[in-house]
Amino acid sequence: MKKSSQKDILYAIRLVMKYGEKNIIGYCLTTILAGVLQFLFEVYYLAFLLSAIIHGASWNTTLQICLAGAGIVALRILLSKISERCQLFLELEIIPKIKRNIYEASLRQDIEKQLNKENYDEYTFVVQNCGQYIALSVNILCNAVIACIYVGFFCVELVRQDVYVMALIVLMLAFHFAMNYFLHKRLSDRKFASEQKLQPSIRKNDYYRRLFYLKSNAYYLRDEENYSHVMDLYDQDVKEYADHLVKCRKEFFAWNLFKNLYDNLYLYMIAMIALILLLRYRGILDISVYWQDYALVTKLSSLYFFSMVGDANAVKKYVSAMRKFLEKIIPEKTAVHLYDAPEIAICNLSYQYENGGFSIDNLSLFVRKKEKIAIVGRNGSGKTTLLNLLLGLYQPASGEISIDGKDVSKYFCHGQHCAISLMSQNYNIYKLSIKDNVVMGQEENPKRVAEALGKAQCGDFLDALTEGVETKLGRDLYENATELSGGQEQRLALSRVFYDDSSLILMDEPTAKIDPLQEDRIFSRSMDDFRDKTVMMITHQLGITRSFDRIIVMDNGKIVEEGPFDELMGRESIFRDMYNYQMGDA
Amino acid sequence: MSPPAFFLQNHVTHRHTHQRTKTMIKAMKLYYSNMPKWLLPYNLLKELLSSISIICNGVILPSVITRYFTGEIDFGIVLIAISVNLLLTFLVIISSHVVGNRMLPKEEIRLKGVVQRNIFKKMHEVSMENYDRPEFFDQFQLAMDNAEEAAKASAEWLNSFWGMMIRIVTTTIVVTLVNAKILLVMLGCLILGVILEIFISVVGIKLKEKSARIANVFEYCERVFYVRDYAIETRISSISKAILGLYDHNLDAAKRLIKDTYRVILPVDVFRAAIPEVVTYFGLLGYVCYGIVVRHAYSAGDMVMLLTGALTLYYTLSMISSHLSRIVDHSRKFQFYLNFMNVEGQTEETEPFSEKDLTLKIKDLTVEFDGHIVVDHLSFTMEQGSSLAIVGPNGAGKSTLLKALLRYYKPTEGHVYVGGREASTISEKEYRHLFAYMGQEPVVMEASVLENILMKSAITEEDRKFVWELLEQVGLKDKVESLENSIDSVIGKEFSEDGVLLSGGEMQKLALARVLAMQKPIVILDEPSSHMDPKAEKELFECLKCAGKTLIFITHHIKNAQYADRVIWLENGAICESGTFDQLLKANGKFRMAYDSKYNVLLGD
Repeated sequence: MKKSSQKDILYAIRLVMKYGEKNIIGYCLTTILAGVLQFLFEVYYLAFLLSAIIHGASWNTTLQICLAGAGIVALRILLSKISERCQLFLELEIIPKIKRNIYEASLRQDIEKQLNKENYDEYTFVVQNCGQYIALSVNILCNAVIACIYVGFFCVELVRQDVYVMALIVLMLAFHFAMNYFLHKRLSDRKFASEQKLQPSIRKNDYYRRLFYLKSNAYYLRDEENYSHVMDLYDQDVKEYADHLVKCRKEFFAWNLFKNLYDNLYLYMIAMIALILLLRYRGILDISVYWQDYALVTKLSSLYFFSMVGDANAVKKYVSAMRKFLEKIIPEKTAVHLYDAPEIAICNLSYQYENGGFSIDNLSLFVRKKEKIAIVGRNGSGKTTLLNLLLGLYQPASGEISIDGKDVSKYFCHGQHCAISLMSQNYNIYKLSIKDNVVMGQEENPKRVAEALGKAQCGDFLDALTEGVETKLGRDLYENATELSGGQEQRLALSRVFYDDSSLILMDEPTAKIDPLQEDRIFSRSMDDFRDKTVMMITHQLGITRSFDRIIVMDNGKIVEEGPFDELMGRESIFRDMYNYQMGDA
Repeated sequence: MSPPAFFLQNHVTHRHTHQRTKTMIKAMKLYYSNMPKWLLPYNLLKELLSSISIICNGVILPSVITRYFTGEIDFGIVLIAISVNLLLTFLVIISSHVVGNRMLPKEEIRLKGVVQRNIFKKMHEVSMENYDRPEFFDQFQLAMDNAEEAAKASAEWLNSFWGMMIRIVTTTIVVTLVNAKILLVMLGCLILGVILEIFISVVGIKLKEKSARIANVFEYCERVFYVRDYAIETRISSISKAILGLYDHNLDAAKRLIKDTYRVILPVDVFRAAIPEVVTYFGLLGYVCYGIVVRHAYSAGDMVMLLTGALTLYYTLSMISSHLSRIVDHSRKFQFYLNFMNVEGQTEETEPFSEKDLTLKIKDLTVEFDGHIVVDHLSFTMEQGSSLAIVGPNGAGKSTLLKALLRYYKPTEGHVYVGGREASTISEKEYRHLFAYMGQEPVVMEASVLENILMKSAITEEDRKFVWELLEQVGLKDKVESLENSIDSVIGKEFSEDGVLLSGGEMQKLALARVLAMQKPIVILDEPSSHMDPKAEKELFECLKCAGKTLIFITHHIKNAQYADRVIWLENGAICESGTFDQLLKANGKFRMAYDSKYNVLLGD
């Protein structure tokens, strides 16, 4: 236990060292120098001046002492301001890098485990508190050094001064340290726990901010009833937040009060009375001695060194929470390139969401090389789940999926590259340029971008844009950005499939929002492009399925019918019923 | 060193001091009107107590001890002084701790709630055009981030102002008892300090304004890694690289901005901190020393009292200077909030709408975006209870037409009449009561199925029955029955451990149930069935037809147009073909082509 806690602190300091680079040296040097100067000034200066005056120093000497003091203070201010600036830049260097690590780690987690409440809480806690605790660990680093230097000064005093007085001071400091250790440790434990407990409420608050920020919700929220309902929910959550906060605060209320009382009373009262009594007893009735000793006690006891225990404890806890999060990643899969159209074998596959949502039920399917499969079926029959399972992101309850004989849970989607190309039903349009939305972070090839956009019939709206493919999307972030209509967005998303040029293509209702004429054009051309690829597509547009090799009808997670279009239409079938429904001939 | 470019631009509107004060008063009003009534008197009392305690601690006690050491007074008096101090400190700590840690946090969360609520209300009221301006989002960001803090700080300022007055009076009395000239020494430094701090605050505010956009970008990047919708895409593509690229790019911009700001701030800040501390403190010290060494005017006890008293006074004064400059800072921050609340809303005075006949008439409607004509002089009339299908290619202006009809966008030209009344003469609230609208992306709140359909939190037994009926109508009954908590199941897993997820088609059905539950006379649907299976689609349109409401819908499934009394084919923002379903089929135009494409895909040519 003890060992691992040290490791966490070291880990934090290593992170700071690693990411801080040059800034860390400047920060440490200036902070330490400023700290030492301040200590010297506050402990020795006034006592020195007083004793000089009492012992009858001349005006010239006094003036010189004053000027020297002014110089020291000026230097200290300069140093501490520079150190503030260094700290800011240091945090600016370090925190974003750590946040990036956390972001990237979140993508390497198991998708199902990532997307639930508990993990959301953990994730947002780690991300949102990153700044606070990493800044603390930077502080600890410097103040540990300053504390060492102070102890050095203190040792000199020990030798120089009256033994009894010094013994008293050592005793008082030891007592103070013990008290602080005891109090801060408990307090920081409770504070940290309460912060973690509050995370869901904070996250919920952010949810409303997001809700109102997004334009897609704006239309919805314009409606008086919808709006007032959302505000009801909001009020309820704010109330819960407040109650929760009170409850969390209660847990460390008494400790906090005790700590506050102790901090104030100790310094001014206990230390003061003890010192006066001792000096009286020892018969040292010298005001400059009292002044110096008192300053020594207060300065040393108000050192960050004492409260550092609590901070170190909090940093330790934060770092262990962060590491726990970072270590949740699942093993990386082996990257495989699909040069030729693959075959897919699905064997006795079953899948069920935790809450009994939609599932796949003992499904088996073999897809030949270059086969074009259309998947149709009622809403919630498991079509989308089947495609998601093919990507190997979800863990099936039983059964196996292999592509060209390789198990999808071990191969294909490696890091951020996947040999399989997917156009999901809820594709996202990113607030980047149109080009970046096609390229999706891969290697950029302007010619292929233009080709892909052309194949997805994006030409018509691109021509109207003065900046062409460089036009940014997202009017909340950019000036002169453009906004696409639903169908245009879908065509843009479809162009990614053409740009990917993968030989296994999965599409989930790729043309739901595209008008029939465009759909026609896209399909008549893309079927040629797809000639040498294996394609699986979910659709509700039964007309298109005619051009597919095989149609699979799904219901309740099972395949209930399969066969080519003509065959299914030629006999009494669910597919024929569906087709007739759509064509209105039923 | 040349000042950074942004520093030369004058973004912050300069206001007179009395306007700043007005802003401050508004902030204080916001704070105290939302806080318990006892808070103000309590705060004033607390300040009084703590001021007295500070003077006892900082001025009287040290001088008593010094006098004891020089033999002027007895030890008994020292003990009395110490115990009085003890008692005072004790009182101050306990009272401030109980209130500050036990009672206030709850109230402050409530205050935050009120501020955010006001901002959200504004978001709900502003015209939709604002959502196309990044500046609007900057303003939103600034208001959200600063309002509450500024209101709180303004209220604190009021307290500390009062506390400072007490301190100034008492310390001035103590110090002038010994020497009055000292006061003069400090005043000059005080004024200089205020000027410098105001300067720093202005630079800081500018930085905030400049970085609002960057903060929004950061939030966006964070959202991509957080929101469920992105989870699959970010895993199977390298888009996260591009998003992190955006993040880094903005991080660099932020660093540059901060570096530029610090180039200006750092020397000023050093100067500001050094001037009062070095000049005031050492001026004072030198003066006192001179008094002792050369003029032999004071004893050591006097000297300590003078020094500590003067120090307390000096700290109080420097607090005043920083508080004075903070007025400017906080009122500027609160101004962000006021600015946002001033974004033009729709508040025109209108006569009540009482028309029974809800004939919809659109005349010469034109909508322009960025110089492009999206809807072009479009006219049509709809009787109450009739239905209209709008079909046409993507980007033809179908959705924009609906949004203009719903008054989300102001038309450049032309008018919309409801029951003979021009739309803009009807109040926003009444207008919204006429229309039920479902956009392309169904919005589903993280709440129970029941609440998502009824849009209210208090639900009766009848409501439940009503919801079951609706669920049956939209074909979602079986699905909901199969859920563990039935219609009380929460949708979404972001905040609920046992939340459920719905597929795209199911979400659409849910949103439709909501539209049906709304009981509004005119229903407007934008591609309501794009993710539905054919059977559900057919049932949906049959159900809508029976509802007897005025219905306008956009669809890409041409067959669905047969459920409408009238169909228009829209292209380039204008009506290209119009008539009944059968008429259009016979016309052999674009509609017919689109209709045929469904059958002959890839077969014909």
